[in-house]
Amino acid sequence: MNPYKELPAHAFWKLAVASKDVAEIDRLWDPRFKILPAQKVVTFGSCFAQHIGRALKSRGFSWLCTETPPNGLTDEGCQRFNYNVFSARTGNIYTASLLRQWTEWSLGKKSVPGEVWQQNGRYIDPFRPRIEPEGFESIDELQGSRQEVLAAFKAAIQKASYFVFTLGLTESWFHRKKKYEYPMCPGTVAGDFDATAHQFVNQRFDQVYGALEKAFALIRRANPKIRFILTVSPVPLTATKSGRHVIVATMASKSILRAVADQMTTEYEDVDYFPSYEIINSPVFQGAFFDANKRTVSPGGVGFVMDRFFQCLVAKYGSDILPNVTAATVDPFDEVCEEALLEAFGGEPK
Amino acid sequence: MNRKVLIIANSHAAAIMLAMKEKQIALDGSIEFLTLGGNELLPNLRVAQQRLYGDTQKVTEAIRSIGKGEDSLDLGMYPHIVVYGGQLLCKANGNDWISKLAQSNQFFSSAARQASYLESIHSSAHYGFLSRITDTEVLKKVISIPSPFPNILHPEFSKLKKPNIKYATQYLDLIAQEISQLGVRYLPLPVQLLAPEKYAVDSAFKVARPADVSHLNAAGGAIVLQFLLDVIQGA
Repeated sequence: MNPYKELPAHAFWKLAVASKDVAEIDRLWDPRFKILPAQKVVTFGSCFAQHIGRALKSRGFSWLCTETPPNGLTDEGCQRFNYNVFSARTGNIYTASLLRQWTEWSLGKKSVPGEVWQQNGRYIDPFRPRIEPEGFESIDELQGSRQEVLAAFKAAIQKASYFVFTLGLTESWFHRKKKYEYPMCPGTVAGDFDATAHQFVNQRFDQVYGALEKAFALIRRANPKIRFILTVSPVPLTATKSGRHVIVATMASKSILRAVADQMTTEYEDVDYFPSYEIINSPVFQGAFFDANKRTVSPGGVGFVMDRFFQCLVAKYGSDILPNVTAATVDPFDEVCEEALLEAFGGEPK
Repeated sequence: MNRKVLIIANSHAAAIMLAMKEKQIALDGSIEFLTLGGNELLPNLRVAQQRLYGDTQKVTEAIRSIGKGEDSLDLGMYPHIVVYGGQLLCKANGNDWISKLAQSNQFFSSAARQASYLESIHSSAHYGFLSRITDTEVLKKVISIPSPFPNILHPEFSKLKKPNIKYATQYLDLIAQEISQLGVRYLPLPVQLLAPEKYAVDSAFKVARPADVSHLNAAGGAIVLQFLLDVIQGA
């Protein structure tokens, strides 16, 4: 007798991996929470988080968007103006410290810096530099939009049952004196880089863990019933300022983020971790889920990951947690239209 | 009236027909209707060499019913072609117009608001049909008139906070601009139809069907018809 004797098949590489076709590898996640279709889920974080929101919505779960687009904007328009990408128009929140910053701002713990960038006669929000495709037409408009997103972020925290956050980066850029963080290095997509004002910080485990712990504590205080699901973005760095090769820097960064996620789930019962990072990056899958650039995740990869998300929920909690998909019915308005015509034209040829 | 008019419309044609019957106007065949309920007609019409074709069986049948059994209609017969309704301005029982009014108090960047207005207009069956017509001779004959606003008795109006009319006006102006840029004459809704609030149809023009807050009754149809005839006869 030894402690391994009683373990289930998924604990053994040979049974869980080597003897299986990759498509049959299952039980990759043992979900801590029974997510029900009626419970509101908000999604924020690095770019991979947007796929989770979209998948939840398409499967009939309650993905909550607190900053809705103007009526009539098509899906393409929404993408262009960054609506329905995350639960509010924060843009990518790449780091745990940026999450803490957004949380502090939206809950009124700190005020938003007044910094605004100007480019080609338009105004850019340094904290969401790509949120408007052409920038804002005035500073007032930019600040109005900022107030809107802060209110929407706060509403997301207050209304959600689950807060999904995708950790993306450890490499970050701060204002050297004022200590606030930019999501992207000034001067890359907008703004001007100033070495005396802008400081590179490659965050270590303690910094990331501390920031995430603080952000979650603030969120919990605003909504004591909320629960958290962490993921780590499988997308490698576009570029590194660490001085190391980008592959090495990526591995270092993701390892820290993955370790933070593990520590958070160990320390806190209201935090779970969904292994999208492992599914995409495990050598078992031989990089099959990446696009040709070996960086971005292909639609097939996203689909595979999200299928596992729902399969694991069903495996643990049963298929009755899945929403009922109702059959398409006749639009009642079409019936009204037919009635109107029938009344006017009767049996006459039109 | 001896000048033939073709009215291409979805279910909003009903009110005009009711008005013609009630007031015994233009029942001599000088006004012809090409109409189908719902949203099948306009997206499936095509103009080629001054003839109108249908791309689905139902639309082709509708064309046959006025085109002496032919599968296409000779548009050369009509000095005036009115395109009426077809989701221009209002869709889904007026709900999207009411959403726009509700959102007029919400913050959006001017670019996002403008994009949403343009995408609403361009995605309408009405605009889609007109934008597919490349024959300038046909375009010159076309008169475009949007779907009526929903009736003020629409239950959603009672829940609406006072809208910011600046944005509603901006949207209406944009519709006029976009349609005119296609080389088509655009007519706004006749003002006599409007409730005092100016962004809804007056309760006097609601059809009797209780749930229908979208279509005009015969009295409303008569106003649209008279408006059209005045424009055509003055043309």
